[in-house]
Amino acid sequence: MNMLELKGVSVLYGSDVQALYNVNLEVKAGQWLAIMGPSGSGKTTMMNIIGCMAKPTSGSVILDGQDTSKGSEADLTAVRRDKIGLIFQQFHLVSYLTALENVMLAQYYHSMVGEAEAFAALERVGLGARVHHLPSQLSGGEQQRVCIARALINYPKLILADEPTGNLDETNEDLVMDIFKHLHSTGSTLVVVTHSPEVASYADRMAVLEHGRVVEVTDPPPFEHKGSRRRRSIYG
Amino acid sequence: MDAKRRHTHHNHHHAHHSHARHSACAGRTKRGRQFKFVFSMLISSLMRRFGRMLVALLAISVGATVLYGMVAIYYDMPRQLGREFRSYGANMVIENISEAELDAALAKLPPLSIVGITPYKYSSVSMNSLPITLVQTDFSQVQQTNPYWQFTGRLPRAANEIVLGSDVAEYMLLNIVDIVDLPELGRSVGVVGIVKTGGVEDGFVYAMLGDNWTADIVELSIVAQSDELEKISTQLMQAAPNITPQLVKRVAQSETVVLDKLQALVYLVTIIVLALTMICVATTMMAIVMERKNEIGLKKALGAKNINVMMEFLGESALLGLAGGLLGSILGQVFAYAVAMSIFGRAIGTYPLLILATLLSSMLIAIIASLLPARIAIKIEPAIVLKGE
Repeated sequence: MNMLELKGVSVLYGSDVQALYNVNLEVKAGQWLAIMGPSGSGKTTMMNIIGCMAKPTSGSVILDGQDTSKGSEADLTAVRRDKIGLIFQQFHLVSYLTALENVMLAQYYHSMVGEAEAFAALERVGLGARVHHLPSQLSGGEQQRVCIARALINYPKLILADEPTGNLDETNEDLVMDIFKHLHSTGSTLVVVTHSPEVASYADRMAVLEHGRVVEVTDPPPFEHKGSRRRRSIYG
Repeated sequence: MDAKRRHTHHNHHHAHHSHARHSACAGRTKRGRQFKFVFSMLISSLMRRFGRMLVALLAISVGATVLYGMVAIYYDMPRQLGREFRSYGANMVIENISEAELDAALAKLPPLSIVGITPYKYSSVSMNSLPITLVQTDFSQVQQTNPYWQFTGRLPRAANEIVLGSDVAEYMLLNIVDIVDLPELGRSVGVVGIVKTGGVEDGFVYAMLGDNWTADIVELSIVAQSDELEKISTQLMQAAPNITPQLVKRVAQSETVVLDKLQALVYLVTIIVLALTMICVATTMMAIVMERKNEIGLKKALGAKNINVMMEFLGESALLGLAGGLLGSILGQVFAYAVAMSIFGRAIGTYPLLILATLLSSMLIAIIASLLPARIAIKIEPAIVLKGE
């Protein structure tokens, strides 16, 4: 079953800037897709379309059986809230909320805050001892793990990550990749946009974007990952 | 491997929720928890970003201070200025009345703010064999009702002591410590003082009026504006039918005119200050929206509805307004007190209702000033979170 399906998706900004040309792409439930491509290739636009933060100019986007390309702004908000977990390169934690409150924020907009559940989510990403810290008191890697805990708290159908290790050092990149591997092993569907062949190497498939077109879909990605580099895993 | 277990847990979780939604009690708990969370989020936003909110807080505080101070003075001014105006002379006159009659009539009225009640009893006498008008009065009351009368020397302390009007002293070539012959008061009557009034009263001679007086004219100086004075006059006539009070209209009316103009001025200044406050708060809030674009975009990316974003933003403004109003009420009381003390030389009261009004209007002003910034906030697109910086 396809969790995500893009059919003939084109995005036109203004009258002459075409960000995506007739993109066709499928992601099966439980699959891990990496999206790669140089700057300006349309990765961000693709993320916006998949993440229901923008609508395509033409074509359709079917997420979990629902066509999101025709919905209203409120419909898209509901899809983002109920079906998508977003992970960002910049983490985007609310600066005045603690790690725990940042996770609870996603619960708040989704359905109902549950402190115990938010606490458990942070514990699962190895931050049980840092729940009451503000983002400014956390390292980049810790902030990214808060961001991941927040993305996972409402059990999204699709986890969408934009350069999740772009601002992290190797150690933290390993920690984050551990979490992704764990999520993949537990059946989550992942779409990860990345520049890093190392990050892409863990995916099941890889799509390469160039000038707004999908020029290559490789199954599996043609990269070796440096498994030996791992120092520790929070999942043992 | 434990995918199934997780999904089972997930389903259980949802089932649990939908079950809970059907329970009214759980619904209340849910709303309570949600409200508690958003409230603590707003408090955190204000407290942990205090530096950023300081400008807006100061703007509201200054606005609230002026609002509170001005309105306190506005309310208090008639009372304050009424006292001041009383220095221009009595505003009510009653003819042919005794102290007992007047006291009885006044006792029937609600308590009045009376500055002074001065009886005058006139008689034609001869002083050093020249005809002259003798006025017997209560000097301590004269100083209250006619504070512009300028006495030199001292006031009479005994029945055989007099004060001369300045004209009398001049044309009779008399001065303080001179002794005159005034048969009605005694063989040798001492001149203890001279009074200058600037009016016909300078041509009279003044002596003490004893207790239980009956006066030809009684002047009353009451703290009241002309319409209130009319009411008091009517009430006095009802209380004692033989009393016919007359208002000194010139004094009473000019008082009202000046007060009306001053109050209009205060009103105008208050409105201008409130408008400036609103502009300042709106500008600050606009800057805050621009600064928090990413945060707003993130909240929308997480699934916040426009109404959520709007309510959080306005909620923050309302709390800011409350804090500013509280600070402004305190500063406003100090401000009004200082103004009242330096201009009128009298303390000003505290008005609990005014504090409440200041809090509410500060909140309202902060909310109104934030409406436009809030509209801009809800237009921020969630896609902003993916644009790198």
